[in-house]
Amino acid sequence: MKRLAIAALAVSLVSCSFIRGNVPRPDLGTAIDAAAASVEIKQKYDDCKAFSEKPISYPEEVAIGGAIALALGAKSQGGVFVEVSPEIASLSSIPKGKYDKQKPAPGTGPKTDLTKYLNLLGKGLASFSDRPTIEWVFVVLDSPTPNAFSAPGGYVFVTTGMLKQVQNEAQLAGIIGHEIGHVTGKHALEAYKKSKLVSCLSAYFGEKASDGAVRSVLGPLADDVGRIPFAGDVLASLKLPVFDPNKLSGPFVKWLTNKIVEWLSADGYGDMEKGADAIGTKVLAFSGYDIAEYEKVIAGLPEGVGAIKHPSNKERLATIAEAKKDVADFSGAGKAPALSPTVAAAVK
Amino acid sequence: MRRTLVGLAATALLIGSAAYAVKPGENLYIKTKDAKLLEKPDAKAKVLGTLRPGDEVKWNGSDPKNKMFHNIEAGGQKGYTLQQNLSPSRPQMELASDDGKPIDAQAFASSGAATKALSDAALTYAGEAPDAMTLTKGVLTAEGIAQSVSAADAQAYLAKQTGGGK
Repeated sequence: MKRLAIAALAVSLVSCSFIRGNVPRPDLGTAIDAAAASVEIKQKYDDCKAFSEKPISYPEEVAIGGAIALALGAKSQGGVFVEVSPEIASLSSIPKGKYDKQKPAPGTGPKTDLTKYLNLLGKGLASFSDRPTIEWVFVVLDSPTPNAFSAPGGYVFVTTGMLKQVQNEAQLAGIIGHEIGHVTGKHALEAYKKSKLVSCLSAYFGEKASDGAVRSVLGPLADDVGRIPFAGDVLASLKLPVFDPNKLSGPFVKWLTNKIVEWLSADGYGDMEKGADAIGTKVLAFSGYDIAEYEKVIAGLPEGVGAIKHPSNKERLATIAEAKKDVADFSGAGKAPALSPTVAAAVK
Repeated sequence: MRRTLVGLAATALLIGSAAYAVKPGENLYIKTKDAKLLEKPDAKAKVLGTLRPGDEVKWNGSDPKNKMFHNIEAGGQKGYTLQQNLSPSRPQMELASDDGKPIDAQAFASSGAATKALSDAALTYAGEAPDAMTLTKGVLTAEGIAQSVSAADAQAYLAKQTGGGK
């Protein structure tokens, strides 16, 4: 039936050309082949689109979120600022599944105390968000660059450079609130969906993505599509009822993760940054901290620094000022308690 | 594709901004377990009832004398509650499994899906990038520390810091 429809389409195209009279009549077989190819390309594109747009469960979000967290963390190059758990310190590899329910016992020391403090503050703030019950994890990274970022599933990173820069808890709460906004807004998952789409298209088309017929269907997306050595893994995953990043091959996971980080680093979140600032402002207001302190932090940030590209400080301050008006009744004006002594003990 | 991402972002922002401004008469959400509905804006006032996380309440404004207390209406009963008990947004529905239906935040918390560790995908990624092993151990350690901090302790800490109480 599909072949008949394609043949009919091709005959119709040829007929139209013939009726117009002054256009050379193409070979019928060639026209049928071209139409069939076009239908097939469109069908594959639609398959990939459907694959990438499937709802993402929390387990899937956490699965890819952990990989993104490591990839973004690695860009900071300083490692995690914590006394590593004695239980895992000497392991050459981490056994999969071993810490699914029971996490390793923490170490002891000022860095551990600092991480506890960050989780106390971060989890308290997250309780005012619209994802209060996901598993939030707040991590200190050893990096002199003042920065904070997040990954899907509830990972939030703050650098020691940022902790040195903030003057009080309201300022730190503002930074964390913004990252909570990225997680609750599921902003990085848009890049994840794109990476799934491009992996699927790459598996189907590879270097043929630059051919005219394929490009006409894929549009600008064709620039991201190319040959991938694990195309078989991708095509196999399309047939599964559930796409589970935990069960993918190493090269496939690495490619998906690196693409997400590459795109986020180059393009940032665009207007989603404004969304994160608006959500962060709301969380900050309801939790009772002074929003003005967060504005001071943004005003003092160096422009263009960090793992992910951000809008200018001026643009961010405008967004916060606008959001602040909507939560005026909840603002904790003047509420800027001192940072926990654990911060000074560990990093100041 | 950049356009696609920006388009999606714009849609998300529109959805977000539509429900953004907090105005008297609009709804807020209870976020704290056993939040008290008080007769007056005073922590020692008569307790009219107890509210549960996720309960939708009508917000009538903050108390002019003590902005940490808010006039609300819950189940037809008017009273006051502390700001620390209120959340601006309805908790998102969460998809606890790939083949399940979205469930509310409290059911999600009880489902066990909220408990996670650094995923197998993350460990696979770390295996593909050997330099990531030290980082992986650090993140896993931080997860252990995070697990030792309860949501109740975190909420109590914030209440103490900002004078919200409970």
